[in-house]
Amino acid sequence: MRSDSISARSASIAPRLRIAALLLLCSLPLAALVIVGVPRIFDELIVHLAATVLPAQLLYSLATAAGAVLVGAALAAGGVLCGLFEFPGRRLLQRASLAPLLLPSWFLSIVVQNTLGATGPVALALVLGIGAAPLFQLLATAALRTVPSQYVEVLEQGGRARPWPAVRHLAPFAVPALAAAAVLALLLAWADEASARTFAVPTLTVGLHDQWFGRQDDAAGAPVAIVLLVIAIVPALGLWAVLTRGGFRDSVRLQRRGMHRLPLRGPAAAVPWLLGTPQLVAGVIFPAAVIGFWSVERIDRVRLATVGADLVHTLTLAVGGTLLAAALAMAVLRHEVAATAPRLVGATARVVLATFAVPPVVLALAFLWLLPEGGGAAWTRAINETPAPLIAAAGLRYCAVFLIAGQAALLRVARPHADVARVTGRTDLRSFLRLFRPFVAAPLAAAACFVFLEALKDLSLSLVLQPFGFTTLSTRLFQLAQTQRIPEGAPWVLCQALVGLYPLALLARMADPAHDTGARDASWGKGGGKGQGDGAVDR
Amino acid sequence: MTPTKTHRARRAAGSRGAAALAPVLAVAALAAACERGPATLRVITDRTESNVAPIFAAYAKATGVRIEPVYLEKGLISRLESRPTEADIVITRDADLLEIARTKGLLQPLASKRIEAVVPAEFRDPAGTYFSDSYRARVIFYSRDRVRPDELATYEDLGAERWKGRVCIRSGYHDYNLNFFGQYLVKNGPERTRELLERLKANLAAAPAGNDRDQAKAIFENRCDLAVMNSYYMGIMLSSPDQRPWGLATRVFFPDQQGCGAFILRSGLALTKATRDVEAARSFLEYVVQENAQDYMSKLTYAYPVRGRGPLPEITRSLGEGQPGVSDGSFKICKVPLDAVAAQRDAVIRMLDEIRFDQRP
Repeated sequence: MRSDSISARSASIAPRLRIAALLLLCSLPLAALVIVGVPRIFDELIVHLAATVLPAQLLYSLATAAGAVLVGAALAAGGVLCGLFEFPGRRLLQRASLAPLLLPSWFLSIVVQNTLGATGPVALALVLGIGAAPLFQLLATAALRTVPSQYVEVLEQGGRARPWPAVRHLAPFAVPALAAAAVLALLLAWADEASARTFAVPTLTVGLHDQWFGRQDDAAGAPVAIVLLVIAIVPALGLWAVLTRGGFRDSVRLQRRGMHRLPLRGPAAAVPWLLGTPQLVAGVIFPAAVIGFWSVERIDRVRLATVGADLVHTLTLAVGGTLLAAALAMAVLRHEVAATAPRLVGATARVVLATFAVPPVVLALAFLWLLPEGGGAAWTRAINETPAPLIAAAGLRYCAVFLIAGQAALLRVARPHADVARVTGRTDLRSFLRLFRPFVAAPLAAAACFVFLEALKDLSLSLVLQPFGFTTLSTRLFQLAQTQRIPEGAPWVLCQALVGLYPLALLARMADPAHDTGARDASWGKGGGKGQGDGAVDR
Repeated sequence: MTPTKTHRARRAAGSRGAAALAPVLAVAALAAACERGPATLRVITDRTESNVAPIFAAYAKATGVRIEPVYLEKGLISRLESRPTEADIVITRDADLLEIARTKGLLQPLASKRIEAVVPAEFRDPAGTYFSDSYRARVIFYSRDRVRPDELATYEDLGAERWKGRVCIRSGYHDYNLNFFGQYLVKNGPERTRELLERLKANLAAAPAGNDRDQAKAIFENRCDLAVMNSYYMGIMLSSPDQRPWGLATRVFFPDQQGCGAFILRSGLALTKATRDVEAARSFLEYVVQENAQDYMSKLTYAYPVRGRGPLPEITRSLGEGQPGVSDGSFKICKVPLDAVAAQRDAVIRMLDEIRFDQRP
């Protein structure tokens, strides 16, 4: 009896220790930032900054981030309509609208600035919005999978298959997803520095770089980083609160796998194309034409060899970062469904989201602080001489994407599945996958594709943490851009885009509401209680 | 426990053990792969690859010692502080960063009589921990068609009323400008420096943006008439088919030749504190100040070698042609001690913050 009770206690302590260790691991960069920065918050420096550059920088940051969100939402209109309607060329428009994910925003900024001479916050918001539009499209399209087919059929029979009435009736299904996309777009715009500097917009992140690297003093930039984080953390944690609250659950009803699209005929069929053309032109055709033109004369054997070497490093970062981000997120999610130490799990999730709100350069610097060589200790040197810190930083940064996707997927989990998880208390990966794979596989696979594409384009982390002999496609491209040899960078950006095509195609396929992902039909069971719907089950 | 369960338990334990060991083995394998060979020097630098990689290659060819660089656009000092044993040599585009590194205890003395013998004192740190192998002047590029050289004289002319809305410059917070403004502050004091910054900002055609060559491009496109740039960009632009029109549209003016002289930006080289092979690292540093290396560097980068008056490229010699006091690549330099500039960095940044230099004029 005694050994049974001891082993039972051990069994309940071990998962808590694991999640506590995970919380500690994920908190380290933020903790480092707070330890370095908070004392300086009370310094004269922050008072000086508040009295001089901070207000305007804050205004520019808010304006351009909000502008990027609005532009992104507007440019995504055509792509979102692809999820609602069937019309000639729908699949082409839907997939082409995602193509801006292949190109780094900062490179598009340089192309726009150099070819069109554009500067200022409007140009910045436009370029960041082009990059954000696919997020809106992906998440809204995924949300529209929850629209009941019967509902759509009623609309069609009631003669409301025209664009505007249909959108008016179906939009509420996509609102939470659009809100999530808006938050992600806001955070990505908030953290941008390279594009802002290209367009000469003095945002908070630009100011952070100026103070940090101008003064060459880690502590000088940390207070600004904390100000950035405090503002960005509100939408980040708000998103988590929305995803985990019962009110959001109520809006999610998974009735059928594939959504029946409303047919658009006649002139109405041109509406999605009209709305989607700006995104296609600005985000796909224009950069493709410029890069293609530059590439024609600049692909030769020597460059290809260098591109190949840089590609290997880039793939190491992208694959490693994606796998690590997925592993961290799975570790959190499986403890969540098993309801072990819910407070610790919630705290870990919030820390991960807060880390996403931190500009990548701050995360990179935090990793430098966390992995000092401490007098030449062999293990720190061994780690620092590998891409491990860079991969770890990328994994931690993008873990939030997996977490959001997984959490949104778990909202669809049927009561019996959740109950089994809680009763058994098993938090190992095999049990989690056995129970929940049908629900989380597709969203996590989509998250993996998105994270891979983002890690492929990473610049800020690589510029600070790259080990010796580890030039990536982005850092090489950046070097060339810095020396005004932008056209010479065409082979590198072309390689980046080509490598990203396959995951982009996978992402487009998974986001297509008509695509069968193998998700089981499920709903909350009938009966009372918050978070439970009307319980219609499609059999 | 039944034999089947025992077997399963052992397999599960084995799997868990393997999963735990896998990352450790991966790190070890990667570390082994990254382990440098016996004849390798590691260099950490914020200079652009095109400027230094050929010199590394030339040294490797001459000595058989391979140079393994990492190019950090930003965060060099932070990285050096965090990983002091990572690199043997640090090379910076501006020596004041090395002064900051020195004050943080990240460098070790050069202890090289050869460097002391051939590098003039104004290009060496008084404490003997770093030196410069080259320099370039922070000058005024002006429109060949719209500006006469006799309309310019000093840096203060950048703030003259006649140039209102016609001056271009990159971000005030960039290292080049922090160094330039810092030298001005050392020489002229805070009041005059603030006045220069305020007047300069008032004359800007647009918010500071881009790099130095973007300013020449702006002159070419008639968006401004004057720009503050480094002298060597003329040679670099004229050598590039895409940028040649920008170079041809501009000329170089060396300010203040009747006064203190033009300010120069000095590159920096040093040994890190934890250099593993001091002799080999010192050997590389001594190599870069050899005559042939200095000649090669000046042809490659169009910068001025610190070592005497070796043959300069034609383009470099032609800079400031026709300007009184400037001929054949020779001009008056305003000498400011290397260590004095770094100490002004914070003060310069504060001024830039107070006048909101990078925000729209």
